[in-house]
Amino acid sequence: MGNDTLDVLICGGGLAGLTCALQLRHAMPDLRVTVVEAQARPLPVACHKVGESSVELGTHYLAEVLGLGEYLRREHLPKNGLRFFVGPPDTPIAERTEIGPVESPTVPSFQMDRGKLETDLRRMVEDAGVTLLEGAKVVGLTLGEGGELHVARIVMPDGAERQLTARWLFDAAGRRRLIQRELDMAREGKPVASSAWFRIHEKLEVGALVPEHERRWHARDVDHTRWLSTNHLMGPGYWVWLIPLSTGYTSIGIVTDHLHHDPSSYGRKDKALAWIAEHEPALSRWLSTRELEDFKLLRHYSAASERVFSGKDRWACLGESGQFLDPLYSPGTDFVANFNCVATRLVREDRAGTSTPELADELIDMLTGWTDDCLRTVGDNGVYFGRAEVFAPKLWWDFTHYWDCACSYFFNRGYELDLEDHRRVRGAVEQLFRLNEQAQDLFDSWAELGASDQQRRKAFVGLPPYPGFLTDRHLALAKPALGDALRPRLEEHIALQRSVLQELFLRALTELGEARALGDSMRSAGWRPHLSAERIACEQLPRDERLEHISSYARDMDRAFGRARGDGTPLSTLLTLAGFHVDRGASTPKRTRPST
Amino acid sequence: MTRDEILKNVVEILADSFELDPEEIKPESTLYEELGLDSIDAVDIFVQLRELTGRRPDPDVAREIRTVEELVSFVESELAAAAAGEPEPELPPPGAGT
Repeated sequence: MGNDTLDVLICGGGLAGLTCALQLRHAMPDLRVTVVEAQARPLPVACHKVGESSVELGTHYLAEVLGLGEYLRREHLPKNGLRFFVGPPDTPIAERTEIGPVESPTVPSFQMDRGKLETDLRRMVEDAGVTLLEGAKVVGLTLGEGGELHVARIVMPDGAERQLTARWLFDAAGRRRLIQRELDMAREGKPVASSAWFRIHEKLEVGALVPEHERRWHARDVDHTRWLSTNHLMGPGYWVWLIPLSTGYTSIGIVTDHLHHDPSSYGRKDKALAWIAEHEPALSRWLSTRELEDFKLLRHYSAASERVFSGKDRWACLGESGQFLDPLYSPGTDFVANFNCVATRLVREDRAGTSTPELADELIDMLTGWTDDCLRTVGDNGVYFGRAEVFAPKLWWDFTHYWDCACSYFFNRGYELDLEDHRRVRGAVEQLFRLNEQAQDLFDSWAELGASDQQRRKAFVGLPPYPGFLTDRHLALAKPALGDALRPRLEEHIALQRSVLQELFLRALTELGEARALGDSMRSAGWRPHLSAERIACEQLPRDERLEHISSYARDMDRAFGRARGDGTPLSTLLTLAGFHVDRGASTPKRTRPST
Repeated sequence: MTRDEILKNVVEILADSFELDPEEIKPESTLYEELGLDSIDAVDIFVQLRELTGRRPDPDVAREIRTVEELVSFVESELAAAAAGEPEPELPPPGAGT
């Protein structure tokens, strides 16, 4: 390889490209890495890019894998989890169900000002010895197949053209999708949804949108930290995010699905304000005396692809250049993390002469699996946004699935396992994926078969309940299960998730009463329960005796959502109607004392 | 809020959260023996009481409470403390050490 040949060329110096460059240099301090980025510094703070909120996996990547924990704590805002205000149309915020953490989460996540973050990252990659070509544009790519090198034509800021050759080529140029276009693999993605966003140069307390006389609503926020959550104002087919930034700005965005809303109805500043006045009047009143800075519309933002990674030909599409699913649950940084770690591993193995096509395929298959799993979780969600009675249980499941599956794998460096161990771990992960598909089928049926019931609205759903099972699932992330310990840990999670799904099914069955239809849909999802007679019979017992027979997570669901209530039909009858049998092997619980 | 209003709110919270008959809940009822509650229920009661008081309770004070009447007195003194602008007890962050 000649001296002019780079080990890695990264096209695009946003979050994905810069973090990848940093990680590569940390792993291989003498690696020749160049990043080509069209936009020169200074970058605008706040109004630079959307995607400010990180969740646990991506945060772990930035804080622990890249070692930016102290930087994030110092320069950005700690995030107080995800908080949702869910209700039917035209409902004041205080009259919707608030779903959010009871206590500030221990496992960290952040609200990051992207302009500030990327400015600081540029400095960090230069300090780490990466060549950063700013103000330079990629005008042509020739992908080298087999053993050949990749060639990129670059126009420098002075107009001069340069040619760069590299062994590995990573596209991190976002929606320009350089490699996807070159190879003609770009496809329109699912879900079909759109988004528009802007910033206000002021801190927005979500409490400022709720009248003072709603004393209970305000009093609930004892620590005055509600504003540090990613706050979601939700209604049928839409949600609006409110994200605070350390630079004193608030990011505000509208996300809609195509079934309920036409993006043209909010595609310009004035239209967006009119849209907000119609759907979120309290926010509209707050905005009326303030100026919107920056405004962007992204129509049908989902992007998919036939292929986003080639180990054999040594190229990959990182960040949004490969695919983008949905901003719900802020998964952007997670995708960056997963892809960058696999990219770094494959470059390292390639350099050491230890790479095999099997290993590359194995790791890339895992990435594809994550993407499909995430899509199943966040795709076509519009139906839930106004419906707390289904959305809250779905959130419960989505949190535990995320922590027990994607986060457990990533926090324990699953992507560093050798081929055979990784195959075994992937076997376990795929069982968790399968359970997620069945759970999502359950929620789809729950939403379809049930009707919104505002009469029984709960004012506040503490999620996760503290202390409790779900909080423990979250805290378990801090307990390492590296190497050989990962697979047994995931096996435990499979058993737990199976039982959690079963409890969610019982809840849906009780509340819906549509036993036959629900049973049919779960059967066609390939699911069936393994219920003991004891579990079913204890539903008839007084509360304190029942609590002795149900699991901690079943109790926590009652704590969060309230006891499931139906039309009084016994659960055993509903199960029979649903076509499911109860295991008679277990004994029926006896009353331990006469009921009073 | 008068003492009667606080009692009404407390009874409502207990009845809604723990499947209790409001008629059964008397000021002198003991939470753990007569109403059959346990320590997790107690945590949930104090989370719910935040909506009345707007404050975090001192766990040492909360632990001593045994009857519905004592819960009412607790809310009353929290409201008085809030009105007087008394600072909340210094507490370790939740989840610390876990």
